[in-house]
Amino acid sequence: MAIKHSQTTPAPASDVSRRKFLQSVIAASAATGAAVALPGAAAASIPAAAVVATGDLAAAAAAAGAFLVFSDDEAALFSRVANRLIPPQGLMPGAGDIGLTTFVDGVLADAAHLRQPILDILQLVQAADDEVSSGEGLDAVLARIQQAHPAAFTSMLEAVYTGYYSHQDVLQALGWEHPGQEADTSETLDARLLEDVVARGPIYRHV
Amino acid sequence: MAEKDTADILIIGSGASGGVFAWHLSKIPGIKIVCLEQGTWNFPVADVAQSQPHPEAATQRERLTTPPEAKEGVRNWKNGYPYDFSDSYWRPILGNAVGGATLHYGAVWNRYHPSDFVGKSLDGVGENWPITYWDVEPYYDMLDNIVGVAGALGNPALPPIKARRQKPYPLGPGAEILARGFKKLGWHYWPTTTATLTEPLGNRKPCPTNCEACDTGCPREAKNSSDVVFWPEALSRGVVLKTRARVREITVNKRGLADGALYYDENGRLTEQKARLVVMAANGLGTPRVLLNSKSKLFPNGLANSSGQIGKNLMAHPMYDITGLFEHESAAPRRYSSTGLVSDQFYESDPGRRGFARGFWYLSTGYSGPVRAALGEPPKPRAMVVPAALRQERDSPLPWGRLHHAAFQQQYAHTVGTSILFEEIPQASNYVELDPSIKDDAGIPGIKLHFKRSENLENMIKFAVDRTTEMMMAAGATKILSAKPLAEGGAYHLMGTARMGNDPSNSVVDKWGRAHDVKNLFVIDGSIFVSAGSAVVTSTLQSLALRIADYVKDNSKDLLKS
Repeated sequence: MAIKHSQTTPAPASDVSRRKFLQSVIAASAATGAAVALPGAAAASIPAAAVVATGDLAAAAAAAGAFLVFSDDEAALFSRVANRLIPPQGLMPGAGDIGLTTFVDGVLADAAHLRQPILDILQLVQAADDEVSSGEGLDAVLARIQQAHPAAFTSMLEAVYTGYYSHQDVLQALGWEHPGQEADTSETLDARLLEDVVARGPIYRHV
Repeated sequence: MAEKDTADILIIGSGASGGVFAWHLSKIPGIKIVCLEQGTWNFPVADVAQSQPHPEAATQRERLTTPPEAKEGVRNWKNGYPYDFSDSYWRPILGNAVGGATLHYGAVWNRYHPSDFVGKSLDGVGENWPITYWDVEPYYDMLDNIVGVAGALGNPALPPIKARRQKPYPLGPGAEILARGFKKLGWHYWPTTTATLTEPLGNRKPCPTNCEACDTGCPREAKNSSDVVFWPEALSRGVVLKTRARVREITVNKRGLADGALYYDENGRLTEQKARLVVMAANGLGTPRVLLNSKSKLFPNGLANSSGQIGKNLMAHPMYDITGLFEHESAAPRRYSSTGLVSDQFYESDPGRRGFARGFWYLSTGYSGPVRAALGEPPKPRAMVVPAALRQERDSPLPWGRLHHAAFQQQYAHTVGTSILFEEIPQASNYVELDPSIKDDAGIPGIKLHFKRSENLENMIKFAVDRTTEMMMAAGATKILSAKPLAEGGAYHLMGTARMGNDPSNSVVDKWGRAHDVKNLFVIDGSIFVSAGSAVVTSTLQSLALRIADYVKDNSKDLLKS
């Protein structure tokens, strides 16, 4: 079964940010008051007004449940893949369970060099239709893809890991606390750590 | 070809040295200063330090979405020139924006030792500088007070420092662990000093988080960079800064004096800027490139190159990363507001015992966030972060699947790393030359680097790896995970290619940075370094530029006579 990946607007030039290109499409459509069907969101269209109101294409897309690059089928498959790449364990959530697909979709919108390699991997996973119905089967397929296409697979891992370890839920599980707005001066260097060093005297050659 | 009004001073390059020089000279009432910068302004668009949920998130997304650049013409920013490093084991990391490399450096701040200036006399290697540490010391202090430096005073690895210091950060967990090892062995260590504010200074805000936006410019202006510290005042005093101006050559008059530059402006038009005094501040590769390309009847081998030394004596700091596994305690970062360690234990020469001349310097820390750990990068100081556009080689991300979480815990919470900077002595094999087979968009030749490791360096590396292993085990490491050259090049800092000296036959400029051959031409960037030392260089580089600026300012009436 082929993954639906519709494209209703022409692809931008490779050196144009896809996000900016789509914003220009939105702006043009907003002038006419029409809704716009975006590439990668075959089943949904994002009202231009929503983008204009929020000023953020990704936020509007997420709010509308649409993706910028992934089709709905691709997004669903990617969530499954993400949960195999980083499965849930203890307090740590699975990557597919925390909306990582939206993060990666946004990355692919901004990074032309990552788009095709990751979409190609999804195509390869989809082609192994029968095998990937189980988790273990999907692992085996991913392992084969990693061996056959190491650079593309590494790109996908980097995208997933970056998104996962930037996520609030994951950082919370790791015990991270944001330092806050201003410089934290409550802690300072414990000078006792340096007493021995200072006591040994100068170690430079005085010339 | 458009002509412009004659400037009193023309500066080529707006980076670490060009910025402070322009700032200082602009204090002369009525002086006309023009600076030509090949890059553009780079304005950080977001206060990364406030990024939620973690400051690392924004910078890491930026790295992820930045495509790797082609091997030829690789630059940190746009509008660069091509370079061929096929005969060098490292590739340079070059700044190409207003502020130059100060935009992407990590602001680790350390002075040279007095012995760095007299290596030939003391250790029989390289050449002596025509100045001493004590000639530079007043400018080290002056500069520190201008830019704002955070750290602990009293470091016994250096002469006593008179400059002010802002409050030092506490040690991070990784640094605390390594300090134990240094302490156990009775070795020197000291908290890393940084030219990053921990307290307000003028209109600049302190750094709250060490947020790792350092390699794209500091959005809070906490980090010392020329675009933030020097250029605003210089511009307010009337300095003209032209961006996207690519200099092809320095021109000379019939008397053999520099009289300006030919450059391609932002529209690609060849333009002439006349000047009474010309200052090269285009770094240890860009300066020899322009000077070697400035051929004339009077200077057939390049401007100010009767010695044949321009481009020669190229030095950099080869570096290693060594990572240890500490299974029984956590090195996981608790907060951002912390610092790492440096060590000068092996900085000074001891050839009789160690088998090599000169030494190396430690710069250590742990992770500041989890993304780098997951990507398999060794923990390294933020000063050693390679800009996103230059990531040609990747570390291997951690395993995925059922092995992932355990692998992550080991990497994130139980590894601590140290970088080692080595001093490489100037070698005949190490130089930069013009490469007319590769040209930039304006048809100006690129450069080719030649750099090989010396036997002295190889012996130093072997010794350093052994000592570092000893230190890590003393600190409680259960094993050494990796010991390898820094990825993406293995060296930082560009020095030596128009070096200072008293002898015009083996140096390019005198003790004031003034070209022996061309009395109104100055060089003020890392090209003038005579030795590399093994500490980071920006403190010394900017202090030297400030010293030369002071000389030019004090002698401006004579120097600027037409």
